[in-house]
Amino acid sequence: MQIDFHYYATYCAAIIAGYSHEEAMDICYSCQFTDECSRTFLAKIKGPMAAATTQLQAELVNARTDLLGLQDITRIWASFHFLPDDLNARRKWVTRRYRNKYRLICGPNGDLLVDTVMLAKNKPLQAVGLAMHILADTWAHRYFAGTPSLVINNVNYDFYELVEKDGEITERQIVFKHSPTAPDDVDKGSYTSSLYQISENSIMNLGHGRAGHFPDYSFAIYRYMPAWGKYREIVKNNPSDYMQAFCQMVYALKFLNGINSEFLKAHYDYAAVEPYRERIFSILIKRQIVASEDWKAFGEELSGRTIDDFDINRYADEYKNAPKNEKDDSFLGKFILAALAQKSMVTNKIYKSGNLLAGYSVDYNENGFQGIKDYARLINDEMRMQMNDSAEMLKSITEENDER
Amino acid sequence: MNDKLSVKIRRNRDNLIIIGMGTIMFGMWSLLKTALCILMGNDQVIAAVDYALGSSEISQDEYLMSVLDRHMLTVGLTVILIVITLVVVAIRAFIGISAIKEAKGGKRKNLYLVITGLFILGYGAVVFLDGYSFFVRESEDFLDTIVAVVIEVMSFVTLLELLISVFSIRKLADITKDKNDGEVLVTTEELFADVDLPGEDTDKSAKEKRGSDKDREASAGH
Repeated sequence: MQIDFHYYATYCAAIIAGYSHEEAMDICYSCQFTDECSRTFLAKIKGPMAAATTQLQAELVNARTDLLGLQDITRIWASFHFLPDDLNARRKWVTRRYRNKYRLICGPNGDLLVDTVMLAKNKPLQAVGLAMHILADTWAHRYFAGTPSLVINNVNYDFYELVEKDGEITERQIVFKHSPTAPDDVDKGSYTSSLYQISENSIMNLGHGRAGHFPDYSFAIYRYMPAWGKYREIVKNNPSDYMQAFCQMVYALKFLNGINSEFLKAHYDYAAVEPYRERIFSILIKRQIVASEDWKAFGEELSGRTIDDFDINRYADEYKNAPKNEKDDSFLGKFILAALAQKSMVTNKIYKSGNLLAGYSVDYNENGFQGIKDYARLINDEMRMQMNDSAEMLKSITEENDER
Repeated sequence: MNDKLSVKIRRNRDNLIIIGMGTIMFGMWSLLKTALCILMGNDQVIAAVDYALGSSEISQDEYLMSVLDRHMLTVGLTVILIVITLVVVAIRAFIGISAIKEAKGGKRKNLYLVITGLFILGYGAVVFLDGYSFFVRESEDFLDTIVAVVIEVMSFVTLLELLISVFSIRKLADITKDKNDGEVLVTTEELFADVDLPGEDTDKSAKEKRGSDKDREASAGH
C-alpha cells in the first residue's frame, strides 16, 4: 500500500471510527510514517537505529545478506509490512529452512495481528497509527514474506492482469521491466519489478519485489503462480482486499478508542462503512498509480476539515530539540517507542515459534535486560506507565478517602 | 483453475522451460569444448591430418614438400569443425528457444520436434558407439571416454525428456480445452462479488478468503 491508503484512507477510517480530526491526523501521520522511518531518517534526528520501521532502496543495496543481516531485514519487514499470519503453518516434506521461511508468509487475520492491535491498546495515537499500517499491509502484501527468499517470493512468466473491458474480464500477460527508475504505466500494462536473482537470499527477493508494485495498487486484479504454491495459481483481488482492510481498520479503531469492547480476528465493521461503500469502491477500482487526491477529497468531506499533506519533517525538529529526558514524550518519541515495542513483540513471537530468521529474543521482564541497548527504553517506558498507573490509583484512593 | 489437470500442465510447462534452457546450455558447452580444443592444441585435427596424409599414396619426398598443403588441411579441418559446432549450437538454441516459447503459451510448432527426434537418433548412435568403444574395444583414454559418454547420455536424456514433456503438455492442454470450451471462467460480477458488503459484522468472507490455518497451499486459488 502507498500513501493514498496509509495516510488519507486511514484518516477516513479514523473519522468513521469516531476519532476527532486532530486525533485522526496523528493516527494517519503515524500510519504513513511507518513507511518513512528509515535508519537514514533516524540518523538525521539522532534517534535509536533499532526503531527503523523501513529500509530505503539505498539502504537495502548496502544491506548485508549474511545471517545477522538477514535477521535485521526480517525483523523490520516482517514486523511492520509483512506480518506473518501463521507462525506454525505446516507443510510436509520440506526442509526446516524452507518451512521457517514459509511460516513468515504474510496474511490477514493471524494471531500476530491480534497481538499487534492489543499492543496498541491504551497507548498513544502513534501506536494506533503504526498498528493500522501493519493491519492494512496484511491485506495488500498477503502471500509474500518479509524476508529475502526466492523459493517463497518469486513469481514467473505466469502472471496476468485481469482488466475489465466492456463488462468483460480480459487477461493481459505481464512482462516486468527491471529499471528501478522507470514509472509504471497502468494503461499500457508496463510494470517494473526487481531483477531475477538466482541467489535465494538476494535482496531482490524480498517481499513483493518480484511482483513489482501490483500488491500496492488498489485497482489491481491479477492471477499468478506464487513460488511456494506448488504450481497452484492465486487470483489476487485488490479492490476486495482493500475494502476488507478498510472495514477491519474501522473495527480495530473502534476497539482502540473504546467503542468496541473486544478485538476479534476476521471481524469487520461493515455497518459503519455501508453508507460510503460505493464512494470507497469507486476510488479503489479507479486505475491510477496513486489515489491520494480522491481519498483526500473523501476525507475532507467526512470531517469538513482540511487534511494537511504528509510532511516527513513535520515533527523532526520537535524531537531533535527536545531535552534527552523528554524525547520520549515528543510525537516521534512516542512513535519510536511504539515501533520498538512492535518489533520486540514480533521478533519474540517468531523466536518462540522455533524460527531464528528474525534472530534471538529474550523476555527482558523475566530475565533482566539483555541485548540491543535501544530496547532498554521499552523497560523505562513500561516502568513509567506503571508509575503513572500507581500515581493515578493513589490519587483516586486519596480522593475517595477525602470524600469519606 | 487449480484442478489436478491444470496443476499438472503448469508443472510440465515449468519442466519444459528448464529442459529448454538445459538444451541451450548443452549447445554452449559444445561451443566451449570446441573453442578450448582449438586453443589448447588441436590434437584431434592434427591426428586427422596425419592420418589423411600418412595413408595417401604419395611418396615421402612429396609429403615433405607439401608442408603448405599440410597447414592448409589443418586450417580447413579446423574451419569445418567450427562450422559444424556452430550449426549444432544454432540447432540446439532453436530447439531450446522453441520449447521455452511453447511452454510459455506460444504457438505449437512441429519442426523443432522433428529435429529433436533426429538429434535423439544421432545421440543414440553416438552413445552406442562410445559405449562400444569403452566396453568392447577397451579405449586407451579411459577418463576422456567416460566423460564423453556421461555428457552424451545426459544430452540424450534431456532431449528425450523435452519430447515427452511437449507431447504431455499438448495432450493435457487439449483435454482441458475440451472441458472448458464455451465456459466463462470468471465474470465481472463474480470477480467483484465479495466486495459487496453484507451490512453487518461477519467473519464468513474472511474465513473463505484465508483458509491458511492448517495448510496454506490450500488457499492458492481463492
